[in-house]
Amino acid sequence: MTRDEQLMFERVKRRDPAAIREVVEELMPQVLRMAIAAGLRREHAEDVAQATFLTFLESLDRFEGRSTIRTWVFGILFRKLSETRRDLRKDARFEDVDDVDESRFDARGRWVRPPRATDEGVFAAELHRSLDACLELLAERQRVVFELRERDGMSTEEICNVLGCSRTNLGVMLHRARAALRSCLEARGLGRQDEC
Amino acid sequence: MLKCREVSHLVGSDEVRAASLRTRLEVRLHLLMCRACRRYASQLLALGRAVRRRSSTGSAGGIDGLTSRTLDAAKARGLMDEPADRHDP
Repeated sequence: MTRDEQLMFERVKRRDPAAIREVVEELMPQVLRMAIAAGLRREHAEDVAQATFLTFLESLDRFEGRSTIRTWVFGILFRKLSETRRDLRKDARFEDVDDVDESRFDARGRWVRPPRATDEGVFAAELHRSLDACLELLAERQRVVFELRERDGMSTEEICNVLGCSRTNLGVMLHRARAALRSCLEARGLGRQDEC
Repeated sequence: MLKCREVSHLVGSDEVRAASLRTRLEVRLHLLMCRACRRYASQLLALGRAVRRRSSTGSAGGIDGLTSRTLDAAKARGLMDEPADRHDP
């Protein structure tokens, strides 16, 4: 643990309300996204997220700080998600089949419509305008997996450890999410008409 | 030689990070030669940057409510050290 983590650990052990609030505020978005990524519906995911933090606080006396608070919380979440597997959505399984590519590439594996050119600055501005709308169009699980990876900066290993999925499973979801997002942005006019 | 389809998957799935040295070199070589895939890869990077720049609100909406409910539940179960009530003599 870093010195900051050590200080936080000591405050949380004393059940300092401000410290506990800080931990919940910091980790809640990731815990909730993880529960949704595991295949839970929003309401169920919220229940699991809340239960995860309550269990964390109930088990504080056994928490000796050999791992970080974050690792401890995600360990609890992993066990809770394992318990709820049977209640998962029918579509909650991870798929390996990759149909997203079928229409994008020709028989020789080349782009049917190559990505349009984008100017760095213009791209960033247009992205800013259209990103939320395009994120909304993604399947919810795809969106949260993308956010866990890109917004929360979690590693593939960390995500898979909690979700119990393989690197390949997660890779397919990330690939689909990014491809769909990019197409959505391009369909909304991102990028110049190609000059080549 | 890798095809555009394979390169787009390797890059989009992050599999390229865990790939063999040989595969990573092949991807790099393909990107050097293929403008379309180069654009694709750089647009995905820009996508990631754009999401990171964004505040933690947005599509994770409703988080604040969930956080307060969780803290209230923790208080109700005596899991938090309540500050002394100043109005209480």
